[in-house]
Amino acid sequence: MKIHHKHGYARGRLISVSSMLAIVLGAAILFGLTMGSSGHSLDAIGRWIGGAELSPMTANIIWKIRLPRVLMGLLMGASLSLGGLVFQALLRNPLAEPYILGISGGSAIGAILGILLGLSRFPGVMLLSFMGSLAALGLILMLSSGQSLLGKDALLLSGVMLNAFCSAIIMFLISITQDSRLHNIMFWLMGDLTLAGLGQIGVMAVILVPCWLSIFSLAHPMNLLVMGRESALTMGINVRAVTLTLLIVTSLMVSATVSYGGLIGFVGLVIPHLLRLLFGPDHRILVPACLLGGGAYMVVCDTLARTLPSQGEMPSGVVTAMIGAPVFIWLLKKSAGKMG
Amino acid sequence: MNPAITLDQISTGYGNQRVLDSISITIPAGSFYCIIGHNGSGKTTLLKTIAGILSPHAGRLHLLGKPIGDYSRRRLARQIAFVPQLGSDGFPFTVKEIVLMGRAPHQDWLGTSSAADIDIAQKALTYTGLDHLAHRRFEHLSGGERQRVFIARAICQQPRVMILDEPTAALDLAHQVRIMDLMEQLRRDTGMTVVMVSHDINLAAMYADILLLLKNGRPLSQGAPESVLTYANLERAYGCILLVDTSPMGNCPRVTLVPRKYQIDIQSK
Repeated sequence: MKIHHKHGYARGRLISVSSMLAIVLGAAILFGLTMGSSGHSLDAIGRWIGGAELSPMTANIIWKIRLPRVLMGLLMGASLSLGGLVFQALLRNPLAEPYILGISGGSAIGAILGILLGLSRFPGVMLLSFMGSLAALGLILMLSSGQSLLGKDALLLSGVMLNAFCSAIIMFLISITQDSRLHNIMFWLMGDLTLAGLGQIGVMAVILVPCWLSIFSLAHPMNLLVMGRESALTMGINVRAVTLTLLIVTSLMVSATVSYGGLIGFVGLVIPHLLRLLFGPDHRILVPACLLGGGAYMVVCDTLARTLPSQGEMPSGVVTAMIGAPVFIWLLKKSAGKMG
Repeated sequence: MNPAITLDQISTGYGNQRVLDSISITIPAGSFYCIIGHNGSGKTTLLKTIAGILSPHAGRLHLLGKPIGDYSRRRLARQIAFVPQLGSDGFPFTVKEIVLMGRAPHQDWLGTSSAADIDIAQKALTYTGLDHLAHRRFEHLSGGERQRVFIARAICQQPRVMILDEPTAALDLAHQVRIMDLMEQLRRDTGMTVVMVSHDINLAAMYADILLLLKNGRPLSQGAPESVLTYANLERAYGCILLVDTSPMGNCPRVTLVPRKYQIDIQSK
């Protein structure tokens, strides 16, 4: 699919891309609501749309069990995908991902400590995990502020180091855990959306939606930034303020999702990359596209995660990675062929 | 003529390292001003200070009669445009998208392009001879074409001063002349002040009306090319043996490098 646009950016293009992806998201949500371990309910939903009443049991399953999970998947997929987009722009590296700065590592340590202390998933573990990621963000900013934030390598290097250090601590914590809590930790690490309730969704939405809006407000400066920091500066962008704002807002967003659902890989890597191939590099199009497309991808993956296994379910992160990794390799090969 | 830019005892550098040491210069409005000097003489540092990319550690910098601190980033970008050195970039924007980005300091937060913006971008594309490449991806262009894209983007800012960092480096001869001719024409057509760092003394001598020769972060000589490009100045600045005569075109100095084998030849005669 290739959309030709004569005049750079036009609102019409934003609307056409967004409505197209909104339809995809709508289909994903419908898929998520109708599929479940208790069987399909497509015809029931069809009849409900037609005006018929749902049976109390079906209604209970769809609105109390599936809907919160679909909504949570949407919030997380949208945020992870947007986080990837921002870090790719900030680090001027189309292969960056939202966990690259070690934010996830700090978050994971917090969550594991919470699980080891026997705290409840919500709010105990989530709160500790959130604090862990904020600590990691603070550390990153401290480490890289000695040099200028204008140097992208300073940020990247301190992030990679912190991530490696956190991984070591996570392995250490896992190695000293022996009882059933080990299973909890592993399940959380691989990305888990169970236990989503409307309350948690509300909390997440209150954190995430303002992050989305502030990132969209910086979409045009991001276009200028990826063309070079000095150029952006001389085209009227306050590079330092924009970089710092994007960094903090995105870290907040990513840490909120990690603290709730663990490490869900590849959403933040594959979705922005794929959408950039489809719709071009303009962030004013890509920000809404990532929200819609990332949300749809996560909802589908999470639905597969809870329906594919005949017994119980698997972590959503397993599905996002199993689909995402091959797609990503394919994209990589495709773009490498284009350059050559 | 009114000065476009004045530097009054400007010192700057990176971290504790001082690159420019108390420089005072005046760049007249509408002039073609070239900065030359040896590697590490502070050419690019000076250029980036004038462009507002580096802030001075000490001294006063005035743009069009006002202290540079009085301008917001956005308002500064409407007065000064910067054409960076060519680098490699991985984000697949088209030529037209990049040229339109030059309108950013005149647009709203979302960079919405008005009909006027698109018209200005279209004219800049035509002016720089990029019409046929408008929908091509930037990464697929040659060096000379990329440099013209950056110049077209800078034109879109509608600045009073255009600052270029070695715009002819790594270009073949035809593109070098084309870029320099373009800048001369732009200055004539718009009255824009052109400030440029050049590693190519002869090219600078042919186009500039004022040359600034830097050595170790200090001005060694400043003025018309024929007064700056003397044998004595150049040998002091570059520390090598050079011949200076007049260009066959008759109106500007020509500098020729002297390889060692000829030096020995001359000495033995």
